[in-house]
Amino acid sequence: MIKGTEVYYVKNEEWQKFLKQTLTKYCLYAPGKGLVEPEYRIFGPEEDLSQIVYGGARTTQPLKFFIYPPREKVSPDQPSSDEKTIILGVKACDLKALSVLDKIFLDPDFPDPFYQKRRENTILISDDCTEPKESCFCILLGGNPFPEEGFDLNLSFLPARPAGGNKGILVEVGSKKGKDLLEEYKIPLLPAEENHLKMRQEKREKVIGKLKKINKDFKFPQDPLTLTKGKYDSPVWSEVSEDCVGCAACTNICPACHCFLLAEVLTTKFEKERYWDSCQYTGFARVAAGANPRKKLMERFRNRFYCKLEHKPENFELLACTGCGRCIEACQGKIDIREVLTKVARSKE
Amino acid sequence: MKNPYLPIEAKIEKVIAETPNIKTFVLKPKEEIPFATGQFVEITVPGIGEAPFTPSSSPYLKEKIEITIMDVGRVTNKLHQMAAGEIVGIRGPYGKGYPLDKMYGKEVLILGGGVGMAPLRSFLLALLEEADKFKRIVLCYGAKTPEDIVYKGQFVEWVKDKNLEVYRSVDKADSKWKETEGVVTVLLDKFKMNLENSVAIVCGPPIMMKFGTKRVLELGHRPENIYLSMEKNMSCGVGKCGHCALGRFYVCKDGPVFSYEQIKETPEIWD
Repeated sequence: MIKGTEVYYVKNEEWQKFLKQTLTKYCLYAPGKGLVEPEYRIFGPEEDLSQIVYGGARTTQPLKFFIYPPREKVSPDQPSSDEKTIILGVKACDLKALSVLDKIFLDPDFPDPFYQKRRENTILISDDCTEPKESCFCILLGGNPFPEEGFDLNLSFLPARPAGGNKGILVEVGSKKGKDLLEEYKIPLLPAEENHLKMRQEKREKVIGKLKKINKDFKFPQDPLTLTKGKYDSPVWSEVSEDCVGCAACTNICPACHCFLLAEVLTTKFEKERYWDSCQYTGFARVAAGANPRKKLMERFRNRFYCKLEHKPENFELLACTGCGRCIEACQGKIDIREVLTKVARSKE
Repeated sequence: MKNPYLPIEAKIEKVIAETPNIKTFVLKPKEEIPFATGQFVEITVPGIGEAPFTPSSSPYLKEKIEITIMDVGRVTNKLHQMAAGEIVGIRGPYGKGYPLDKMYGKEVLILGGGVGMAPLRSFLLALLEEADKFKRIVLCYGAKTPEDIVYKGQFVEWVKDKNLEVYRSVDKADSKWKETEGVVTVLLDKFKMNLENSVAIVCGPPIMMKFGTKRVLELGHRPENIYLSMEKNMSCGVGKCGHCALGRFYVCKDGPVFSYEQIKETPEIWD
């Protein structure tokens, strides 16, 4: 066992059996075969769990959908659902992003009861990223394509040795919640052997190699604080925001963006709903009397970068960009955040 | 678990017309809402919307809260159509108020403009409750015209209060106006303060905040002794929705009262 971590070897068929058993109590969301690529689906007790897609890359849908839904009634209702949920197949980039949301919504001064309840009732079973996408760049922001923290359980699939033999999984325990789940269903846990860990390491390094290849053309400092410092008034922001149309796809799809609109429902009962909102919209920061600190599209575009790369690190010591690359895929102006960061790095103050 | 988005019902007890577009609403919430002067609350008009306001009443007044509101937007427009007896919602208090403890023993300059006098009235009333703890209290207030001055009746009392020096100006005087004509900052030339032992509190519309703070700095007040009440789009009030971001700060949690020292390097503060 690696120092400080708890890793077990589990036979593939035992894992399948275990997962099936959990369905009596837990609602399971996992990536299943989609039209183009794997998509999150609910797997009920009657469903074929062999349809679950393990490994691969992060799904298009960010993890925040499950804990912080796009639209939710928050008054006068209290959180009611006690539904226990397992979310399977979460990748490292999304776990990191969730830690940013945790800072906001679990702020001890004002914990958000809706988020808190869902977070408490959710078990996160992550797995290693094995096929990064062309838009993936976690390693350029100090991340790794395999989860290191923030999960309840993490799965690393090992190749069958000898070929055609039993497939196995390395299950790493990340929390008491994860450990309890394993014990609840008495899954047979075998000690992880040295060669298992070696295989996992080799697989992980291979993925890092892929990511390096994908991102060979992008260069910016690993510490983004030095990247944006002093560049606020640089003309580079006008240049890099040229193709932005302010549609907010980037912030909606971002696993770490948390801003919302608290809106009144048209009744007399103090009903309030919150919807995901975006700092990219013109009126986002506008006050009633008309003052608006970010009237220009460039200013709103720049705001997103400063929020993610400077303000969140200053406040929480966490970057609010984890290199998942979803914004690259979602952008209709074909703006690639890696190109933006490369240009900003090259620009003068 | 407490739901921070759920308002408490409050009955409008009285509506006081201050100026043609400013009214003070006396609210009686179902539960007391103790606040520190300078903190703000969110007022809900059911089915219409919610907006942030800093109470204008004394924090010593417990069972009621007064809110002075200018008719500028959707929510405030609806509020202006409401009358005594109607129900609104109230959440809060939120944020950080004026650090009174740092002002004890000092000369206090209050510089206000227009409806920006609302939080300053609460602050001033808090100071006057323990006036002996402050070396001196100077109030400078400016409005567009004599008609636009808020708390007209209360000013009559304040002028007589021996604990307080009051200076007023209007941008455009009428024939009856006997006080200063000009922007509020001209009042600052009418007296001297001991800058070694003083604080300045500024609140007003963005343009007045900018030039007011600039003038106070020019006069030699220190950035760490200047307190600004920032107006941003505080929506959730609890540091989550992101609308009131001011650089790395959320005005709703880290403010609305900031020392100038805290935010002087932050872009967009006057916009």
